[in-house]
Amino acid sequence: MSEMNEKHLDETSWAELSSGSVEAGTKRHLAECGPCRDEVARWQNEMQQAAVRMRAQAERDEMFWARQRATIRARAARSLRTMWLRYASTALAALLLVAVLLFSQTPKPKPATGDAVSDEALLEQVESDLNRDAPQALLAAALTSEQE
Amino acid sequence: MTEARAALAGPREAAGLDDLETLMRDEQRRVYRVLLSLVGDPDAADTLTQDCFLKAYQSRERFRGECSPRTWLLRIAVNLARDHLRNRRLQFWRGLVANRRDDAEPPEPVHPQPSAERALLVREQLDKVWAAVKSLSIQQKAVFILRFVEEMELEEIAGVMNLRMGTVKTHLFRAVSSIRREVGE
Repeated sequence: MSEMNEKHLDETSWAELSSGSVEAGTKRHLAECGPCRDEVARWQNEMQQAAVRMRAQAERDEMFWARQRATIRARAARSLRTMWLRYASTALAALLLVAVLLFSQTPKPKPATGDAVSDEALLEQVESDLNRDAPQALLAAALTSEQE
Repeated sequence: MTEARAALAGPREAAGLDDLETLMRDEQRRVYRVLLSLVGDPDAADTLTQDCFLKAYQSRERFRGECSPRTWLLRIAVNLARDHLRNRRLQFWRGLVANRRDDAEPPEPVHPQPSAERALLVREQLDKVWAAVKSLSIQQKAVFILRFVEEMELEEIAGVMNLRMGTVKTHLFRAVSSIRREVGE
């Protein structure tokens, strides 16, 4: 038995074998070492069997696949409707918000035109009062004294 | 080769996603198989397969064609399985799930063995492998299943898992070591 055979496959070599990229040293060892070759063959066989079993476990009849596709289609259509409904309701909510904002800004009441006129009238009144000799409250008395 | 397969192979893979029907026909078995292997519950695997295609359909515009639709679908599937298992664990710890049935019971061997004794030995050995696979972490389990059941290359697995090649190798190494250890006991 060569020196290579004395050191059997380690965990790294097993990882190489599992990943499919086997280094030259491992290949050489397998070519020379019967027990390791048997161990690898046993492992590969077990993995193949396990894979076959797992695949078999997932086997279903055509009805199952057809029903699954129909369910997916229905759910996709429903999600599409929901999506459009969501878009529409969002757009509607945005429109409502804009409308509320627009209508809530009520214009300030314009000052009545009558007030402006009365201001002018008031000004004229003040001016005439200033020009008058007697105050308005004593206007009647002034008139009486003038007549006397 | 179907139209979807042709679309999967080329750079304009996004077109393949538009055709949900063809994509489902081509990939639903694989997606279901991976999910069943990961979650071990046929009902959950069925629902998650539906969720996977629905999610792919809803986010198809975000698919940039950097990987094949198959890789993208399997990535969604693995993420869904991870979330499902996380939720299930949470539910378990919260005591919300009672009498949960264990659907992960391995089925009968597919191929009949030459003798009853041999069949029993093989079955026992496969039970050990199955139990060892079940005990792996979700990442290790996914890498292991994609490698051995789906026979995918490490590069493709890295794409599905969104991991670096080195990390995939590490997960595979740990998975294989763990299974070999448990099967050898």
